[in-house]
This record gives sequence, C-alpha cells and structure tokens, in this order.
Amino acid sequence: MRFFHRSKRGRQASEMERSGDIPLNDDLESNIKQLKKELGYSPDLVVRSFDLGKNSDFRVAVVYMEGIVDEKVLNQWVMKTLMIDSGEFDQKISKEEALELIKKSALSVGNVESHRSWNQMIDALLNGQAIVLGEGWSEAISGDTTGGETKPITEPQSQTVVRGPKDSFTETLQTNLGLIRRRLKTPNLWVENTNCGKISRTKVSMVYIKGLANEELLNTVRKRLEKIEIDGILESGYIEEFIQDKAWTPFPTVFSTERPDIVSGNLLEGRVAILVDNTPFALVVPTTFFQFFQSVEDYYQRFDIATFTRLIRYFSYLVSLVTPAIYIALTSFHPEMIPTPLLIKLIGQRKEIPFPALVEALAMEFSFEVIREAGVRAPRVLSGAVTIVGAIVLGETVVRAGLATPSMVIVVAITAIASFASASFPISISARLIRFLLMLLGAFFGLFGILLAMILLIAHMNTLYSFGTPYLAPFAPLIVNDQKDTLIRVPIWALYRRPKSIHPVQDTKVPEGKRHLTKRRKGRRPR
Amino acid sequence: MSKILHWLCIASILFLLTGCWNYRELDDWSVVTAMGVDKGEKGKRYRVSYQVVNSGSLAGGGGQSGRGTGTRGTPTVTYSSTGDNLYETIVNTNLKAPRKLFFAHQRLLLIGESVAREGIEHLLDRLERDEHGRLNIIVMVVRDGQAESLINFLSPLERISAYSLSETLKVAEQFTGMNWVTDLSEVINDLSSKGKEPLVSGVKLIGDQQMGDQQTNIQESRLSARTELNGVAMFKKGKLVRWLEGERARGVAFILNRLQGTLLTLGCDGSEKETVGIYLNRFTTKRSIRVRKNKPVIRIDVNSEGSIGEMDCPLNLEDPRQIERLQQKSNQKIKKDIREAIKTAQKSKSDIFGFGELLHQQDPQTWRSLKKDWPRHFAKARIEIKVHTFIRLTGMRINTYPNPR
Repeated sequence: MRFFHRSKRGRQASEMERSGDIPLNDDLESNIKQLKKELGYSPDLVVRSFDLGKNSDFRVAVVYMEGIVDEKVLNQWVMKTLMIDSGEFDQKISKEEALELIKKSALSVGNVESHRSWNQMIDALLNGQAIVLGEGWSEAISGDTTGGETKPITEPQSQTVVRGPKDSFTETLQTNLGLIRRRLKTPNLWVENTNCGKISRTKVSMVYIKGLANEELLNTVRKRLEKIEIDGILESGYIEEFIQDKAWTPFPTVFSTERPDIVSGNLLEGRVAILVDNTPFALVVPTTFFQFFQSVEDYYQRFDIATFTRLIRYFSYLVSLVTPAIYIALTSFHPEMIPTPLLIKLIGQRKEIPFPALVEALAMEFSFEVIREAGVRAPRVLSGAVTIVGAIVLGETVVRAGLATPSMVIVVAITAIASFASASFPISISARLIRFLLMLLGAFFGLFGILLAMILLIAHMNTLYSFGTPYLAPFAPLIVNDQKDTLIRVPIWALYRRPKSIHPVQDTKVPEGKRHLTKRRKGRRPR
Repeated sequence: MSKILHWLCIASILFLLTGCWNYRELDDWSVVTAMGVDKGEKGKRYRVSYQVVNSGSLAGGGGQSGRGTGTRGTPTVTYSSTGDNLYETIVNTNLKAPRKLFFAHQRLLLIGESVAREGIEHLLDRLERDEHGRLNIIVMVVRDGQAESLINFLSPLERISAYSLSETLKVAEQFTGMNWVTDLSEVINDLSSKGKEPLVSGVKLIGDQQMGDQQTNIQESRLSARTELNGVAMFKKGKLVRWLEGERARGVAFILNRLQGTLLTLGCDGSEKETVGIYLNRFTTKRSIRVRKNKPVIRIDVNSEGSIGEMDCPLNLEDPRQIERLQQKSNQKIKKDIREAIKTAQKSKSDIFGFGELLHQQDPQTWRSLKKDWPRHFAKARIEIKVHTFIRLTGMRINTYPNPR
C-alpha cells in the first residue's frame, strides 16, 4: 500500500503541463499556427482555409482531426454549406454578423457551440468536432461531426444466451448509450458525463434512472469517479479497480457486462451503470455475490427452468471450487469415507502412479490452467492445435503412461467443466485462485482444512461491501423479500419489489392488485 | 506490504509445525474386507486370517489399467497370524504384508465354531476400540470348520468372497427368514446385556474343501467348493451352545420381529403330495411379559400378511371360506414354529429373545428379584401365542388351471 502512495506523489510532480487556459487570439493565422504547434504538427490535423462568400476577403478555416470525424457529415454539412452555399455572404456583412450567421444557420449539424477558451476548443477538436475559425474572431465555432470508423453492434462474446436479445455493447460510448435508451424510453434515464484520465481524457458516463437510484449511492459513485487520478483509462477495468471497495479479495465487487439488456435490467432495479468510452464492458454497482450467478436468461425462460438452471450454476461453482481438494483430502486422509468398491478401484489405479496425490493433482490442475490460458491467448488459428495437444496430452497420454490416474483426469475435467458453467467470468476466475489454496489445505489438513478454509472464506466475504451493499446480501443480512430472486427465481409478476439490499427509492415494481394476472377464478377461464 | 510479508512468514511456520499427522497415500493401505478368527496353535490363543483385496486385480474394468502388470492374481489375498489377542495378530501380520491393514472397509467377521464354543465374550473389544473400526460388520459363525477356509474362498459372482457371503445373507434374510443379518454392534449389545443372548447366522463350506482357495474353482459352472448358510448359532453366556435349524430359526425370527419375508408351505386337504405355498412379507410381533405367582408369562402376538405364491391343488379360492381356512392353517404352522423355538431356548436355558430385558423395562421391581436366576425362571415360563395371518393376494390368478383327469 505504501508503494502506491509513493508513486502517486511522483506522478503528480511530473504531471504534464498543458498550456494555460488562455483566450483565443483574433488573428486567424496566429491561431492556426498556435494550434499546429500545440498538436505537434500532427499530420492528422486538417486545416482547410478559404474565403467566405463571393469576392470576399473574409478568410475562415475549418479545422478537424482526420479519422475521428464523420467525413460524410463534414463534407456535406460543414464544408459544402460554408464554401458553396455561402452565396448570401457578400462584402457588406461584417465579421461579427458572419459569426452569428454561421452559428445560427450555416452549420447544419446537430450540436453547434462556440468556444472562447483555447482548452475548450482543443477538447472539442479532439472529440471529433469540426472547428471553424475566422479572421478577426476571438471565438471558435464547433460543429458536432463526431464519427469515424466504428465496429458495428455484434453478438455478445462473453455472456451468451439461447433466448434473449443478441446485441452487445460496442467500443463507442454514444452507441452504447443509445442501446440502453432504446430499451428504457423514459426521460428519467439520466446520464452524467465526466472525463477521466489526464492524458486519455476518456469519456465516462454514469447512467441511472432518476427516482429509482438512491441519492446516497449516486453521490458515492460520483465522488469515487471524481477521485480517479491517472494518466489514461483504456478499459472499464481501470475504473473498476479505482472505485471498488476492497482491493485485497479474489471476489469481484463490481459487476461488469457487455449486454445492454443486463444493464437496463439493473438500472430498473435502482442500480447505477458506468459506461466507459472505447470498451464494450459496462460496470454496474452495487453488486452482491449472488448477482454473478444470475444469468440474464433466467428472466427470459420460464421461472421453474430458470430456478433449476440457476441452482445448477451455484452447484457447479461449488464443484469447481472444492472437487480437487475433496478428492485429495479423501484419498490421503479419509479413505474410510470412500465407498468400498470405489476405494478398491482408486487404490488399483494409484498403485502405479509415481507421485503423491497432491503432486498429481497440482500438476494436472496447473497444466489445465496452462492449456486454458493458451487457448485464450493463442492466435485464433492456433487455438485448435492447443486444444488437440491439451486433450491428447492431458486426457490420454498421461494416463496411458501411468503418470496420472484416470480418476484424477476425471476430477480435473469435472472441475473445468463446472467452472465454465458460470454466468459470469469474473466469479469463475475467482474460484480458480481459491481452488489451489483449498487443494493445499486439503492435502495438509484433510477435510478439516477444507472446512476451515470455507469458514474463513465466508467470514471474508462477510467483510466485503459493494457501494454500501453487503456482499452476501440477502443472506447476511437476511432480507426475506430478496430471496425471491436469489437462489430461486419466482414468476416475474411475483417479483413485485425491487431488491431491498440496494435501497431503491421506489421499491414496488408491479402495482397492487395486478400481481396475479393469471390467477384463475373458479369455473371461469382466464381471459 | 511488509505487514503482508509478516503474516506470510507467520503462516508459513504453521506448515512446519503440524506435519502430515495421518497423511497416507491410498496405495499405502491394504483394504481388509473380512477377518476370520480360529483357535490358535503353538500355545497362542487365536489364529486370525485377514482377507485383503488385491486391488490391482480388481481395479481393471477393462481398458487402461492392468497395463504392464503381467499376472493379475486372485482378487483377494489371505494373511494369517497367531497371537494371544486380535491386536497381536494384526501387528504380526505386518511381518508378512507389505502394507498397513486398513479396517474401515471390513464387511465380515467370521468366527470359527471351535472359538465360538469356547466363548466370544471379549473377542470383539479390539474391533470396537479401533478408530477405523466399523460397528456394522456382519458377524457369522463358520459351522464345522475353520474360518480361514472361508477367508481363502474365491467366489465367482462377487469377486470378493466377503461380499459374496454378506450379500447371500441379506438375500436369505429377505426370502427365507431362516437366517438373518447380525452386525457387530448388535452382538456386542446382546453380549453386554443381562437379559439377552446373541444369535449369529452360521455358514458352511461344502463340497471339495481343498478347492475353495483355488482359482480353478471359479472357472467351473458347478463349483466344487461352495458356501452355504446353515443354521443360526445360539449363544449362552458368550458361548455357542447349539444350532437352530430351518423352521426353528424362523420361529425365533418371528418372536424377534426380524422377519422380512418367508415362505410357508402348507399341505392340501387329504393329500400329502399337493401343497400351497404362501409367501409372507409383512410382519409385526408384539411381545409382553408379566409375572404371575413367581412364574413369568410370555405373550406373543403375531400379525402377518402375505400372498399365495403357488398352489398345486384344486382349492376353490373364489370362496372366501377357503382363504379363511388357509389363514387358519398358516396360523397353526407359525404357532408351531414359535412354540418350538421357545422350547428349544428354554431347554438350553438361554434367553435369546431378550424377554429378561423386556421384563426389566416393563416391571423393573420384579426383574430385580428374578434377575439373579433369570435363565432358570425363563426356562419354566408359560407361553401364550396368538397369530393372525391375512392373505391379501392370490397372485396373478385365482384358482389353479383345471386338471381334466
């Protein structure tokens, strides 16, 4: 921790000094020169200067950054209007009148602003706006031409569903906000923008529904976002590490997702989403441990199926956590707990293995982790080769060579499959770390060690908070109402309250009297 | 940072401190499935045989394992040792066996008849004292022979003969009612109770005794040597006094309310050859005891229920009175079984039924005065038996197919 403070101080000293906030010059030539100098004569800065109107000597310049502007909009609605449709500008018009005219009518793009300060203008320029400078003007006009090449909306890669919308966030903040707004057509969907990162000036949006999200929560999020001081934000992971409540834990305390429907659902529950430009992953706070086990599909499938699949997810998390540890503990400390025929099989298999169970298990688990990492990191073309080598080496040859027991391969395989069956990636990777700890404890202390570790783990989880919400809510503290959507999922109409653990302002979703639409009266079919 | 380092250092000491106190790899254990106690030789009290699983020969299941092992050997291996007590024999066995014996999976305890006749009162202490010991071990007495011969025995269907025996006993308990499972805890309870004596099923090796431990034995469809359940051993003061056979053993089972199923074979009217077989599968027995004029009066109420399993005489079962008659006959038969069972017990003055214990519960005052001489009092007790049998079903047909002759 001390390390952190020291480096922070160092960073503050070497902080890059931007040019002070000075007003614009009214000389066009010197403004352009200054701008070029400021941007280091960068070749993607385009300056197009021309005379306005027929026979005029009134010079204006359109300045923009190539690549982040929408060229079509720029040419059609800025350049063309200024250069060709500007016939009505004649010599009579004064420079001040021209400024007003351009501001009011000539720039036919959405967002037109004028800037008097140098910093404001550069910010606008770097955001992809076109800047119009004029001879004798001490202000600059910016027109919103933000655009450039962006990725189209694609299917989500990390959180897939069978039934449900197939769109996911992209790298463009505007698009992402649009995806949410398309789902929640309410004026109460409020967005607060801030810029984070001294150098990157990344746009970060805090999204919430006014009147649902708790004010206190909003203040906390605002405060924590303001506190971030770093040179650049490249992914929402940066923000997550800055704003999370506790760093020293394997468990994620900020929920992240690339699905707009998940974000919308969370906003409706009174949570706050944080969208960061240039990343398809949005953050949602506050979260609880159990939220990571709720797949969005739980709400799209019928409730009984949803409950079943959800329980399977919890179970598979437990399996991926403790299976190898329990296997080691049972075989090395408690053989009396293994059913006799199974024990005989295991002994027969183990007879020719040259390593103790722990070494065998660690080696197998470790090589599985390596294969998994290789599968993720390897170039797409190679990932097939990785799986083949992994499957053959781990599954077949090791057993045939008598270096590992078939049952250990089964244990590793079950663990791996179970860890893939989680609804959220961050929670399944937390299990990866803890699993190794449990394996060691199981090998040194048997089931006793595993039990102790589980107690410690739960105690640790009890100390965690996510933006004021206890991590283990609604179990610790017990909130009866929230149980309807934690381990199980009751029908949507019965979920008429928002989760109390996040203290929404309004906690009723479905009005009284409308909660049992399908309830059948005796002798009458429901209409 | 340094704080974390501190804690890591302290935590790492933990690993040095504890060590792996009972850490043992699976392949360090020899799983004992059965144990046979015989009379010792050369001045030692016992000779105990341990049936140890040869896991390499069993683990196979085809495919991977068994590779490179060459000969697979027999599914079980026997180690025998002598000693003055069981523990000594266990320790002595380690002179012969390459691995530590592991008793948590023991299924069977076989006691040779000669040991049983000398008394098993304190034989079982070791089994109860061992931390790996299990109290649900099935106990059997080997009739007319050495327990070792059954420990050596190789069985064809269940590859481990201890399982073969225990499964046979379980099936017999369900269908014949003439043998039943007695586990270690039950035997110990009965031995330590004043008003009760243990009953232990007997087993016998029949056929060619020399072939039992040969692999060739299980390669024949008709085994030269085979096992058979045979009688129930009746104990008195921890010593085997006599064997209860067949229907007499069933009578005991009726009284003890231990019956799970049994077949009654009744003769048909006027014909010796033709029979009706009634399979009984539901039983409740209520017992009570009181003392009248210094003489115990035992009352036994049996309710049983069953169905007709076979009938090779032309009874007209559509007539309810015929069913009634069959029920009456069954009652008589059961009554006879029970009476004979009690008489046998009375003759040898051994309260195998626990009537003494029952009296202790129902009338502690009287029990105190009779306790001292209970076997004698039991021997002259009066017995009242009431049986009620109900035939619920006649099977898949009512009357037997007609015989035109």
